[in-house]
Amino acid sequence: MAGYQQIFTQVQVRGPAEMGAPLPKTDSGRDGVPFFSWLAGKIGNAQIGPIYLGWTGTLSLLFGFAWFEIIGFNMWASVNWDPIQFLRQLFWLSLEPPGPEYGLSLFVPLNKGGWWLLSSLFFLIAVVLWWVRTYNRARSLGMGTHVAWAFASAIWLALVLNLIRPVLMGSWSEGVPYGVFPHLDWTNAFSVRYGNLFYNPFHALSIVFLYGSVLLFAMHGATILATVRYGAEREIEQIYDRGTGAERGALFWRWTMGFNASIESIHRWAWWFAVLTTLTGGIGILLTGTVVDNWYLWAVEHDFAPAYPPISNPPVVDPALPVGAAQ
Amino acid sequence: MSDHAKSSPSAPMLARLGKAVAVGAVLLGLAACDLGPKQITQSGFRGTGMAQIQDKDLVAYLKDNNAIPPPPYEVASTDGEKASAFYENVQVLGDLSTDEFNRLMISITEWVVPKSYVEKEGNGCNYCHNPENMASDEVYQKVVARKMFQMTRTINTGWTDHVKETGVTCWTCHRGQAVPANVWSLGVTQERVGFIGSQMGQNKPVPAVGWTTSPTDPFSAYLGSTDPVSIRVIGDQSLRPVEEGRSIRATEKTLGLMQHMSVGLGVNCAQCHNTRSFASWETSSVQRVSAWHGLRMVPALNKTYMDPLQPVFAPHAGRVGPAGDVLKINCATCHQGAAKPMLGVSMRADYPELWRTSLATPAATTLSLPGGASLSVPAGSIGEQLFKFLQSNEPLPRSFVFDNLFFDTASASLTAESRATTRAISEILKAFPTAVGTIDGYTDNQGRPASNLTLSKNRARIVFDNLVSLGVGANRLTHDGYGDAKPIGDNATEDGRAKNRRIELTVTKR
Repeated sequence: MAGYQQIFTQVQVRGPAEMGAPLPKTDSGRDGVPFFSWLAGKIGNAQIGPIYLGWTGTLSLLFGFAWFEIIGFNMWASVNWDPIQFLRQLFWLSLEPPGPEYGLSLFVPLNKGGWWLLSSLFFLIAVVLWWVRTYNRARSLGMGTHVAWAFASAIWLALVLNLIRPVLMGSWSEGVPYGVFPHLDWTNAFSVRYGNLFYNPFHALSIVFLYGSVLLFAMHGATILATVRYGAEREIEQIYDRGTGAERGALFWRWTMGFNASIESIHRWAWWFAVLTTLTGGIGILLTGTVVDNWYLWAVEHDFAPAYPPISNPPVVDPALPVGAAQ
Repeated sequence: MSDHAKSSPSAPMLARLGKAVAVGAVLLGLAACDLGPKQITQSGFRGTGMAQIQDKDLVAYLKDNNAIPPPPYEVASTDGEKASAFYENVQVLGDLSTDEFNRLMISITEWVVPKSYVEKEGNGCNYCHNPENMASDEVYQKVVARKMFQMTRTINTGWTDHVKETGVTCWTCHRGQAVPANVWSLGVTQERVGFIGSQMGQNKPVPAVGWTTSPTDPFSAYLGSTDPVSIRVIGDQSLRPVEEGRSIRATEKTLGLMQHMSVGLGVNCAQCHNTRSFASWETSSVQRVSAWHGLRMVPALNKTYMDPLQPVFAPHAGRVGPAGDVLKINCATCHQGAAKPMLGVSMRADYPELWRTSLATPAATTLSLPGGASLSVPAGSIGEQLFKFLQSNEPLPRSFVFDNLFFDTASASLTAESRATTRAISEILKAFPTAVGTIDGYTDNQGRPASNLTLSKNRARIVFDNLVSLGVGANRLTHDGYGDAKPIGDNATEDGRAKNRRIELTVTKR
């Protein structure tokens, strides 16, 4: 029997296009004639369209595009509009936040960080509008709003990084630059400046949930794939009417792990782990610099970091401390 | 589906696997992974990532390219006629014997303008000298060479905290090139003016900062000739307040300099720092103390020896940077990719004349101690102040701040030059046998109060021990430390903090 699966697909379904559940009368209809894409079908649903953007989706895409273009044109301008250099240096180029001398001023010259402020505002509008869209679409379809709240958790981290924390620190320069290597080097500088983020317990929690999410995702995906031959991919049905596929999956985990989630609760596990990744991460970033100035010292003082012996004997002493100054 | 699971690897599958490996290799390359064999040396507690990881090919390359040139011949006589007497216009090396002087001239020709260079640009001795009149200063290179000899001697005698016993010669930087391979100068600003596209002095793939996105000029602020900026950006205390000027951008700047040091020395962060805390000194390696002194040595050398040569170099192509400033020293100038320049081999045994000092000593004053002995101390120093006070009838108690007192940070003992100070104080105290006092240690308000208190106590004890070992009765002095209490300067400024880091001698009885 041919299996109907994506990524490793052997069969793609073709038939009358699925037009979706009826929407409330207040909603405008969906646009476009649906079609099928063989390539899309290799990794997911082959049907493309009809689409619904509404005013939130349309405005969100426009503002998101403006954010992207402001960054791109700043990068391109910085190499004097040379397309070759733009590609060669692309990973180094960036749109930088204003310098510390501007504090929280909203009137920063464009080329001194004003573009960063403007584009960040556009990014904020785009993301919030898209969140409204996820919320409204879920409501219109009669769904729960789980996706919207999970997305909100990710938005929380982004807002902490470039809005809430810079405001609390009194300087836009605390924000993240928009660039590939620059934002990675910013992360390094951030950790170094605040005494090693490794010792930030919320950073630790965030990593636990991140790696936990990955693990849960792999375990659940593998379990379902392994029991598809017994119909376990019909997960919602099996929540109400436990079939042999779900039973085998559950039994497998009881035998290998001593405990099994139910086919419903595994999704709550995954949702909470994913949501808590950015929620705890955002708390960790928010406390950095606003409350804690050196996480290593904080961790030592609170017995969160173990003590190791000094690596030289006698221990090294800061040469800036001696009486007088060298030379 | 189950059929596929059972099938054995087919040729197309292997081809696909090959492709995947190739893609993986390209991705590794993009991530700047260095695939060669490595030599890993653990340098700290296990499990903390304290290790030096070196490319074995690079280690072999350094070994092949850091050989010391042998001296051309043995010096016949070191106490013959002085060069200053035999030759005219010998301003710096006049204390050398004529034999030593002549051989050093042959050696410097080999070090700076060897045969290979002469073939291209000409003129061994005549690179610096007018052959008609060797004493003349008309060739600008001679003026430069004189300054560089002064600098070499200053480094070898005055900066031993950094260069230790190894020291430097002309070869350390020049390696057979008239201009050392690794120098820096001010860049010509390439920042875009106008309304769009500023990268704010960073985000360019340049080797100076190890191809990171740190600000592309890591030198002028920290190694430039003006007052160097502090590289310290990490919080001193666990909680707020954050100290002014320690922004993320300042951190990126510091990291740029650190990248230069890392590339210039062929080491990683763990050479000096503890992986757990870059700021903590007590868990750092002793190399960090050397680096600290190096970061003070380099700007001082640039200021004292390189900058003044700017007018000398300026008319000559390739001898100044694009902004017209003189070519300057950074870490790579001497180190050239090695943790220890020339792999730590010293040329001192062959050229001891470069380890002699030709600097004038500060003005001294002679004290006539009770009992008839006389003692020479620097004018205005604690020794002179203490002596005058003990002779006078001025009211007690009175505190004196030790000057010229340095601690060898690695061994927590006094440095050699500090012992001159403590020796003078011990002689004075012995000459006034009824005087009684206390040795008090203080720090500034940086760092944790508990470690400051310990540090001040330790340092006071070190000075006490040293005075006792020099013959002052232990019952005449007590010692204690008070951390950052009783500041005598403003802790908000570096000058004030320097004043507050001090050891005091308080005379309580005459």
